[in-house]
Amino acid sequence: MPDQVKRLLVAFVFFLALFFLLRYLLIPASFGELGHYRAGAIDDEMAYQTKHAGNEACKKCHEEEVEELSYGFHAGLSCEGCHGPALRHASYSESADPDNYPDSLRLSRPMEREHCARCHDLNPSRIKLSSDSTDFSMVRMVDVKEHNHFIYEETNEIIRCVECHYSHSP
Amino acid sequence: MKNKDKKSTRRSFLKAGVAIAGGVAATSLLKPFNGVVLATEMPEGEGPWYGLAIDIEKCIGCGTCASSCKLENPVPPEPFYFRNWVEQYTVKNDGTVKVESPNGGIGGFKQTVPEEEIFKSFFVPKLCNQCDKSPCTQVCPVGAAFETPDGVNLVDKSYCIGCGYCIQACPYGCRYMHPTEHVVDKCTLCYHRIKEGLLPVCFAACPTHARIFGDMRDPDGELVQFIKNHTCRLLKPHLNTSPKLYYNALEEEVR
Ligand code: HEC
Ligand code: HEC
Ligand code: HEC
Ligand code: HEC
Repeated sequence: MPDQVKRLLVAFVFFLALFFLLRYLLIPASFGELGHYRAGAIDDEMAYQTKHAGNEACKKCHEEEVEELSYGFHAGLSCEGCHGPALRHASYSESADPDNYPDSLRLSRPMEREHCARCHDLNPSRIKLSSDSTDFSMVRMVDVKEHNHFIYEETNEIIRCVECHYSHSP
Repeated sequence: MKNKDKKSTRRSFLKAGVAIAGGVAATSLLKPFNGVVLATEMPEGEGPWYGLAIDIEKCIGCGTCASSCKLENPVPPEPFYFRNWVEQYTVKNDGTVKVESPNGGIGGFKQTVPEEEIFKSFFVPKLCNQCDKSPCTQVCPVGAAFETPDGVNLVDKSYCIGCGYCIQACPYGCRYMHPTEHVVDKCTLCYHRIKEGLLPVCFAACPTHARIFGDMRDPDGELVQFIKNHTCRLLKPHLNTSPKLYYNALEEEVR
């Protein structure tokens, strides 16, 4: 075998080995198991922790609220849509001592008019229902700028919706 | 000799031409182009194959879906990064269409067009269409965008090189570059929740049940029944991406 071919062969083997080494190092372990992607990415995604517990989870400690909500007009609403994600609240509170309750676990109590307006304000994009309609699946609208827009003289504050309507069963 | 050669070329050319035309006609009979037909062809396999539906008639534009998504998932707080959002469409009497989405609908909408100018108006919630023939996964140069066996399009964050090609490819604008991680982020259909039997968080939060999540392989399931009993349409069906997000009462103006 001529000398130059031998040298070329050495170079060839070297680069081939380099190629396989790089390939081994660069391609993740589970790549290609299910398709042209890393199958382990599915497990990574599943490992993410949810922050919402769902209405069922509140029953354990707030049975009254869950009951009230399920019988009223707000039956379809989720607690966490108004109060925010509550998984930490729900899983920690079990052992909580109400006198010494950590503030970080407290949920919001959305009392502003804007909070109700988000769903109930007059908007032509929402499907209109007359007030004597018997279809209770659609939302009823009020003009939030006019509907009982009463201003307290002492504090100059506008009356809040929750002072007349009970949020859990309006 | 030369003449004869030419003749045979013309003849073979015509023959080949007829064969190609016939072949095209025959294959189109075998498998007609059905870009607008609703149900996509289901892949072979076991287990669930997830799809979703949105009932525009029920959407009240409260934005709870968009806000709960941001609270559940690591989506940047800036008002232009969203995994799902709501758009308010307003068709005016002069035929122009106005589309608004202040902060993706989080905090609700105000109608800015005076009522007498409005021809019609409605809300369109948007999120990843979980396409079966997704252009985003097809263009990924490294295989970081992929579709799981149960039909959810995900991004492998540890493998994504952040080239942004899939953002360009998605016709629905459902992907964005994460500003600090420098990888692409998108709706995962709350994969961590659906695998535990929970609904994706935007579906669980919807107060009017305008969103329906389900298994396309289950003929008695809520999703398939909903698609059966409503006049559902897809977004941009002409692109042949086979989205699995079905809209009831979707108007022609929606893009
Ligand atoms: C429409 C939005 C809304 C929904 C849905 C809702 N809440 Fe509330 N909730 C409020 C508001 C506003 C307050 C505070 C004002 C008040 O007390 O009326 C409140 C107060 C509370 C309180 C404190 C009551 C107290 O006496 O201090 C609890 C506990 C509570 N909610 C639990 C729940 C649970 C559990 C659910 C689901 C079953 C739920 N909420 C659903 C709006 C809501
Ligand atoms: C294991 C018991 C437990 C569960 C489960 C639970 N909570 Fe609570 N929650 C408490 C306690 C205890 C308090 C009262 C804390 C205090 O004010 O002293 C409270 C207070 C609240 C309040 C009033 C605001 C605040 O934080 O002070 C809201 C709203 C609330 N819970 C909502 C929820 C919702 C929504 C769920 C369901 C996802 C839920 N809770 C599940 C124990 C629980
Ligand atoms: C997430 C959306 C949402 C929020 C926030 C919300 N509601 Fe509702 N509300 C609904 C839906 C949906 C219904 C049921 C449909 C209906 O009957 O209007 C409803 C029903 C009602 C009704 C009964 C209307 C009737 O049929 O007579 C009242 C009153 C009401 N809500 C008041 C409030 C008040 C006050 C607040 C603020 C604390 C509030 N809502 C917050 C969605 C919401
Ligand atoms: C002063 C008390 C009061 C306040 C404050 C108040 N409401 Fe009412 N609301 C009522 C009464 C009484 C009715 C029933 C009579 C009626 O239809 O006007 C009502 C009816 C409603 C209805 C049902 C309308 C229909 O067509 O059946 C909705 C929705 C509603 N309110 C939402 C709100 C919202 C949102 C707010 C806060 C922006 C609010 N309310 C503030 C007293 C109040």
